[in-house]
Amino acid sequence: MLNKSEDIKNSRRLMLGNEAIARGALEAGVQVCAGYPGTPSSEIINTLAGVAKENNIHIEWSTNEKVATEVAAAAAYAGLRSMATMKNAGVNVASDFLLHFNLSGTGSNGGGMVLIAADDPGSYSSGDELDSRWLAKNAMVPMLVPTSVQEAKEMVKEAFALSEEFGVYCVLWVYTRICHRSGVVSSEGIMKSEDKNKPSPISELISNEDPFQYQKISQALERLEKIRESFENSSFNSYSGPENPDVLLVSCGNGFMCAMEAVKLMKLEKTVGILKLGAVWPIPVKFVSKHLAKASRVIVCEETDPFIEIHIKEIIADSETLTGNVKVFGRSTNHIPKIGELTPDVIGEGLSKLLNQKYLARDLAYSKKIQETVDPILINRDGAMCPGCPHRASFWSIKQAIRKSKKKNSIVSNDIGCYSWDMTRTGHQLTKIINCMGSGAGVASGFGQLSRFGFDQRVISVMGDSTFFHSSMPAIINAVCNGSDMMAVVMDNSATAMTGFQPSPVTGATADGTSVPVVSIEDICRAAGCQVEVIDPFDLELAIKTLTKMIKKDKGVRIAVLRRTCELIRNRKEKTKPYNVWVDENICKAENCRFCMTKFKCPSLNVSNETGKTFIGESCSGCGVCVDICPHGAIFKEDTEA
Amino acid sequence: MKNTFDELNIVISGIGGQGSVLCARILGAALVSKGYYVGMMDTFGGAQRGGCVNSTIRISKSRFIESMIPAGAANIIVSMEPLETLRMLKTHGSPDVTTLTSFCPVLSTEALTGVEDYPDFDILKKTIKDLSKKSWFWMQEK
Repeated sequence: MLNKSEDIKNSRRLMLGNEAIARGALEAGVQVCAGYPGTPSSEIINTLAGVAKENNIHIEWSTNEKVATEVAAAAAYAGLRSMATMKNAGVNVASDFLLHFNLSGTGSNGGGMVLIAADDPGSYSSGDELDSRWLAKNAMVPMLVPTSVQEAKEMVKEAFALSEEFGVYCVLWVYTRICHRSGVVSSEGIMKSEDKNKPSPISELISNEDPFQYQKISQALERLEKIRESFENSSFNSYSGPENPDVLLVSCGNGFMCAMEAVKLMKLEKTVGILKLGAVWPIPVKFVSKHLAKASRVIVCEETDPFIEIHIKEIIADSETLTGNVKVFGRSTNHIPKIGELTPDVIGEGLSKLLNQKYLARDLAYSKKIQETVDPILINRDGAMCPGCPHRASFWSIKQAIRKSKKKNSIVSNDIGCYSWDMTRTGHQLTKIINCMGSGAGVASGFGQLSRFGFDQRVISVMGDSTFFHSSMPAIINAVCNGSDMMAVVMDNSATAMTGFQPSPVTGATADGTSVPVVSIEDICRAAGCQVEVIDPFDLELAIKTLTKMIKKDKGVRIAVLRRTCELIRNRKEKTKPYNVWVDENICKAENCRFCMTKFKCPSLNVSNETGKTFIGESCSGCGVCVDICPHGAIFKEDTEA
Repeated sequence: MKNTFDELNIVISGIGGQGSVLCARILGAALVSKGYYVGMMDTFGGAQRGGCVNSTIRISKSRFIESMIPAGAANIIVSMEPLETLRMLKTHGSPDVTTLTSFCPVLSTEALTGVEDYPDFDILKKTIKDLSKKSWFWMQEK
């Protein structure tokens, strides 16, 4: 939606939260933007990349989040404005740098740097509900949290100002329900290039290292108090409700809108007052205390950890007037569930528990009907590989190779990406171990040392091309230099696909489409001393043969690069279907077989209601791999006209 | 729960790749250009095909409205797939809801591989009908 830089000035437009953040950065004169793809943050750089060249912005998808923050830091050191974007897990990856850079600061001529930390309450796209807000506390840096799409845009600009005023990066904490929400935004003009920051050379030591560390820590503590003082009057913090409410509801982020909705639905405007915190860290103690004094009961609505909740308890404990007079409710008292995102209903339930007032979200009889007629038949849709996905063929080959090598109890140590779907019921479930980016290889390099203890299970590491560069490389080199017997499969589909097809170092193009050299995974592995084979995963025979040989070899570090472009990218680019694929019903054994759909599990292999035979559904991408899968040779393919 | 303020809540749902999110964006942008307040929420997982996707659109003439729809507050559910209509009815349905369903069942991979049963089509249609005040179906041609 945001594809023209300038012409939406002074207009009202529907914008995605991430687009509003990108717009805010443009209005604030951002000059460098770096990140790593991670839902729900990815659209920020996707959006900015489209207008980067014309606004003279350097924009990049870095190899990992730590590097991304370091790239952004360089700009800040040089007096320019920069932004780094990542999801919650990415903040963890960057934290070593972030927890040193906070003490170094950006220097006396430093430009503003904003860290967009995008969390995922409710785990819509993560395996966790990590709360990045703790970073702001650990790093002693300011943090803002928006409640509306317009506010997200405004906060980006304020975050840059705060960062320049206080000489340290500022965190803008966002979440799925603002990143992927769309709302109406009024835009201002994009900063003209003559108004943007000018670079300045560095002439002082900007470091937290010895002998300055204690000085830097006490400077950081002093700085924190100055920021706190400025937050006491922030327009991002506000109260709405009666002068003396029965309950003070303290909210942050998604909690604010959901609370407003719940209070309105339950007609509690006269009894519940809502405190909105937007300038969240350092927590403005005087402002919050003033409102805590209004009520004897406080309920805190935030995602995902009881971060504000715990600090409110601390404020109360430290205050002579508040101690013993205010009771705090929230996630720690189970008024808000400990797991899961906030919705108006979750808060409604919490308020009903607190106030002993019934919360009826909808007609009771209807809810009962849903329970009786919908629940028994509603089935989920687990994540699955798309029709034509090269990974499906790759895992198929790994499975056959495990069987042929007679190492029957072999398992996969998997990683984060589209190949992760092997672990669901829609995959082969060879995956028995999966954690975070790069861990598949790290763990496998450890397993490769355990034979001396009699551990004889083979563990095959699986990763993607983007993951290889993100954090698997050190693990692979670790296997070589520590003598581990490790086998790894790099499923190279030439992209960071799961997050929206962003480029990886093998794609040969940057975020804004500039051509750059392709980095060769196999050359790096060979240079490290690994035995490397590069195969097309659609050549099942060769893939199975090569993988079987590698598994049987057992010794040394063996890397199989299974390379084929992601089907969705290929289709978008080529707009063709390589083959027409069909099933010969005379050969298909139907319910006496069902091998194709139960073993290969491509979503395009459907059952005809009339004949009971397999037929190739509309979703078929025409890859033709299933032709080689059918044990009866019932599936056929023919070249389509190019 | 009856809506007590001026607003219309629409849910558009489907399977990843069908364009339901794009559909919602177009509708939302069109309404904003006519001066309405609009708040939309997209829910989706990874970038693959075949997962559940839905967008909730809240529209108001007079007030700023960006919060999530409370349970049972959808006025209209538009769905590109019948099982998804059912899924949306579970969270957003009410005795007053109108549903529009493109009755083109897309079996989940679990259903295709026999791990789970996709609901019988007639039962699916009847359940949607029974849970809607008004229900419209576009039936796939054989």
